[in-house]
Amino acid sequence: MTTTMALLRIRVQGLGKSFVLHHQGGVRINVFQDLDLQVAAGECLALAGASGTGKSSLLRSLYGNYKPDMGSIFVLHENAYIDLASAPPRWIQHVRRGTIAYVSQFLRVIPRVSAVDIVTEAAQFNGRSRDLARQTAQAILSRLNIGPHLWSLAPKTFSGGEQQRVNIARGFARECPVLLLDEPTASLDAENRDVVIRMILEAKATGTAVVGIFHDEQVRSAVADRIFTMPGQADAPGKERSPDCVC
Amino acid sequence: MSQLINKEAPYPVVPEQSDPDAETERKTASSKPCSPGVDDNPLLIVEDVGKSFNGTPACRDISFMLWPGEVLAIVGESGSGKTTLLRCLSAGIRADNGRTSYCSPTFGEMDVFTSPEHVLRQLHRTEWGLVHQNPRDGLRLGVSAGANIGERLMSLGQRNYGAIRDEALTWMRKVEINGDRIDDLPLHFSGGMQQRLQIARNLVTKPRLMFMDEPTGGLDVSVQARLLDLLRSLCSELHLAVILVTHDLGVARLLADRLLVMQCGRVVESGLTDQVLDDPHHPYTQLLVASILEA
Amino acid sequence: MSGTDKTTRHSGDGYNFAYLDEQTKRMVRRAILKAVAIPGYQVPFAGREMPMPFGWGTGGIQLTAALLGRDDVLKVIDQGADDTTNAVSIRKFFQRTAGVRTTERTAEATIIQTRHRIPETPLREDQILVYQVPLPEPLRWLEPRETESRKMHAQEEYGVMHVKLYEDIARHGRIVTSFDYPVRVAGRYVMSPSPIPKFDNPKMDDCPALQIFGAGRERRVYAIPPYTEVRSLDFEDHPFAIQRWVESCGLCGSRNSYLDEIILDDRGKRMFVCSDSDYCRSRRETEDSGPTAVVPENGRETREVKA
Repeated sequence: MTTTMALLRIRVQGLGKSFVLHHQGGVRINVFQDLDLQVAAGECLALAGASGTGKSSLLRSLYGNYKPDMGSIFVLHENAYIDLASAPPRWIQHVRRGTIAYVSQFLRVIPRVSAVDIVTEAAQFNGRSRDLARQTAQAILSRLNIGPHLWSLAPKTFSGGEQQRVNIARGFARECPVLLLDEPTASLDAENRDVVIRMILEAKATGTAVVGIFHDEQVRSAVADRIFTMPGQADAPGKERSPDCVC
Repeated sequence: MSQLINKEAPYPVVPEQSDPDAETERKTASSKPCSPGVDDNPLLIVEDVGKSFNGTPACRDISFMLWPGEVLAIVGESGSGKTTLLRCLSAGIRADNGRTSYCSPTFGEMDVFTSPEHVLRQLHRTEWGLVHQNPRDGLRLGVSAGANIGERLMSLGQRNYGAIRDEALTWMRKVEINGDRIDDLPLHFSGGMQQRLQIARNLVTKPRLMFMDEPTGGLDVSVQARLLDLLRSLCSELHLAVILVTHDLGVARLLADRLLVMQCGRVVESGLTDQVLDDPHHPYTQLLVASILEA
Repeated sequence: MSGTDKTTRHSGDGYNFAYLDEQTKRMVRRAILKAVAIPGYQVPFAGREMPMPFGWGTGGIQLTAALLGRDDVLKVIDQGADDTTNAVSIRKFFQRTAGVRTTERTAEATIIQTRHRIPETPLREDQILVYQVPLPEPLRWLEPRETESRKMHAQEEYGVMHVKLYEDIARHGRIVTSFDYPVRVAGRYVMSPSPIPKFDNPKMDDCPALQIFGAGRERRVYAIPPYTEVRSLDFEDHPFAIQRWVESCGLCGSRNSYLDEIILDDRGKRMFVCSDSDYCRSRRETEDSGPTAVVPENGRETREVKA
């Protein structure tokens, strides 16, 4: 396997996550348990499984957005592996700034901030000048068919597809070594979907480790190297398998 | 360090990473110029702070740290002790117990609760800022906008009228107030403008730490959004550390890096803002999050 | 009433020398000593009821009463003149209660009580200038709380004083404060010089005479010891400047004294005269004929005042 030779960017061990709903009778929902997975540089891992098996929860855990109950999530940040499951908030933020870009399902931004400013702010993180970041932002937005007439507008008024493309642009503007994608192409047309596919492939080529949820079979087969199938309702540990269509 | 870095993990990796000596890694991690160093010193260390009024505890056992450039929101419902805590930390009232140490460029490491009043007053004119919910509490309504901004400079000994005025204009521009209004009394400003003026008045000495009590509290939603955006960009531009008291989780999400959730005077949950709001663990936090109205 | 029989008069009236009882005088003197020791600092003192209302110089009178000795020569001026109501009544008060010698000549006086002016004639080391002060607190305009303004003095938080000057310039293009212009004494306390014109401010600086200030209603005394630095607050680019007139005094011709404008008739005829009546008269007396000494009726037409 090529993966064993490459630089490991993410290594998840014995990860478990549950929710306790205190206001609904203290119900405990076990989302997943004892997951193991790893992702190398330049590799794309697709999360698969039925709805409700915790794909998004896993992705959010990888971003430090959800706090797992057990296990560890080591992410290669600068020259060290940091465990996002136990790191203090400041470290998680630090890792996010430098290493992990996360494209959520829905765009969540400050009202009335323009699209280009949102993406510029993301692009500015790597110590870039404001001007350069702005150029980067404009280039990415253009590539995703968000024309200059929309740049100065706040995305709240955009269509669902446009909002999602702004969201994607924001994620890619960072050029982070780890990219987490939660259904990035869900509301996109074929043309834009192909742009996103190309962007993912380019990111992989530069050594980015990608973890994504792709419901679109076409996208998945185009970008994923491996598929990680979530176990059903906490019955069995997660297993990795090769995607059927990828050699 | 050791629990964060998996020394045992068998890395099938390239040589540089294969020998993870914790100390050297830490150095490399913090030497990157683009990121605020993970291990620089905290600006504020709060330990076991408590305050009672007539025997009724308003806040107890509060401990946390704040780093330079970090925005920390204290959320919770009215009466949860947020504002009392803020007033203790900013030395507005004396805490009953605990200590708060502040790392000042001027005075060095200092204990806020035991510092003499003149030192605290000086901090409030220079390295600290205090933004009141009602801008009328933080402004001099009877003197012009320019003088409001210039006051801190004048108290620090700036004696050049032209320079003070230039600085005032600069800050009015930064907080998006038209420079034409420099000689107008803030009495005649809208609520949003007054609040922005209050912020400018505080920022003119480039403070390192700002205390904000519901800064968007009394404002229309439309004005609120603009102010939030402004605050956010100012915080990052000036590398401001902020302790922000708010009952509005939306405001906290947009501005804060970290959250403290307070209930009945205690911190019941804390962590990264998005983590606490998206994955709340404590029953009270779950209740708060579940109670947000979706627009 | 120059007293030949003062002792009998006083005992007969039942008044102590200079009205106040000796214990009160000691208390006031102690306050004065403290004020002299801390230049510009407002010392509270237990001000007494005086037989005249507040605003008529009760603060200054108590200081004068505490300072007066039998050999002192007292001069009292109001707006620079010895013959205005306030000056006359205070002078009479001390003639009657202390029987000391009084004068209108600045050079002859050992104690000069003043309202709103400093004499033009330079003062000497053996003279004391007593000011009547209506509002002693220079910070009061912005800070109504006494506790807070005391703290501000203690911490030297004087930024607000410049805020006031800033406002002047922002509104009028220059500092228009022309009376009660704030000063900093000996590099420490900001002080209200009482409502003297700013024209007089430079006279306070490095003055050989002791200057003490009494506020009756607020019961405060403060002082400028002899030869103390007194600086008027200002900005580098808007430096302190005193009033100037294009006119000269219509009576004595003085070009460097503080002038009052006097309306002469209903047709708007005006003239400018020295506000310091003693200074003006002595100039007219010494500079004999005086080509500039003009009778008021023929006073030349004057232009607008240029401050």
